[in-house]
Amino acid sequence: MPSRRKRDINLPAPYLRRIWLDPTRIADRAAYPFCVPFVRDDFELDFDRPITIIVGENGAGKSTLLEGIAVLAGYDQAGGGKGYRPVDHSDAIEVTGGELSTALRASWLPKITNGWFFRAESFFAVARYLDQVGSPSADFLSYSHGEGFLRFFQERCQRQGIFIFDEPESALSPARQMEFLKLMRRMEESTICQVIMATHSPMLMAYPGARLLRLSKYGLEPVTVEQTDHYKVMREFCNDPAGFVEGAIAE
Amino acid sequence: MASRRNRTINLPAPYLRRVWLDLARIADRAAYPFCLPFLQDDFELDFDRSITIIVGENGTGKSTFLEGIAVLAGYDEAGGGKGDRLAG
Repeated sequence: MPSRRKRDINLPAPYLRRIWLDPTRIADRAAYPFCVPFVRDDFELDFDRPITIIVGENGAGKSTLLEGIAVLAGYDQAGGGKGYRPVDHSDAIEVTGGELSTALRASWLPKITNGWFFRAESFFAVARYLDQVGSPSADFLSYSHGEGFLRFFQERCQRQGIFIFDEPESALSPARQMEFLKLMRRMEESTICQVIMATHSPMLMAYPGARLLRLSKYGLEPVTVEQTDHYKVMREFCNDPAGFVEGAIAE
Repeated sequence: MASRRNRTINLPAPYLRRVWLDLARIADRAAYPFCLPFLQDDFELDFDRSITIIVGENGTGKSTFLEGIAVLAGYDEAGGGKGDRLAG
């Protein structure tokens, strides 16, 4: 079984080439997620490289966008892979970003639905699910957060697919983030992995050769690491940790 | 109801002053979480200020330690306050 589903497509990543908003499919422009400022009538995003990194302030809508893309790719918006349902939505009343997919159009070359949607918040739900179904890759919960994350990534991310990461750094120390960078390099060099990642980590943003985009209420724009607030703030902090924090608290 | 549970104690923080390991209560020293390297026989931690911050590499046991303190305080180890159960 594993051999049949691996590498049945010989085209290199990126597989998801473009997404754009189709305003005619929006029932209620005032309702979430269509009211998020970046969701403008002319919203579109081209994926021209295997690795796309999205930065932006909390609340800009990064997670909403990733949830929309995840649902397009056939993943559960709470995280997981095709067919996995880590969270029971039957009693959920909140509307989540996955709804965005109903108004998104996508072009694929070709359509790939293998892969994984990784969210820090739902990692433990996903790991518990894998335990329950007796996955040979289970046993993630007996590892510490960071070790479990990396083991999970390494087990999942060597196959052909589209991999969506929402703030993978949230449980990774700087040393583990360096290991994660190595994993990204391996994924890119495999030529069969497309990565779409949102991050607040300047270290991950600096991955060489990735397309770095800043999401704001005006939409997406290319940036360099040095232009991001994350990098500027961390640089100020590193120059004078005590003085920086005193100043931040005093304001 | 809200007023009854607020500020019933007039002492300042820290309230939890010290935690330490009681070896006599460990059934299996080789089993998680008692096998974690930081849990030496003489493990103890004094809280002498209202804010204590713990750093450490992934895997050293920070979360395990916090979960242990949380359960001591009567919280669910998955997060929340007394009586809250976030994860089923």
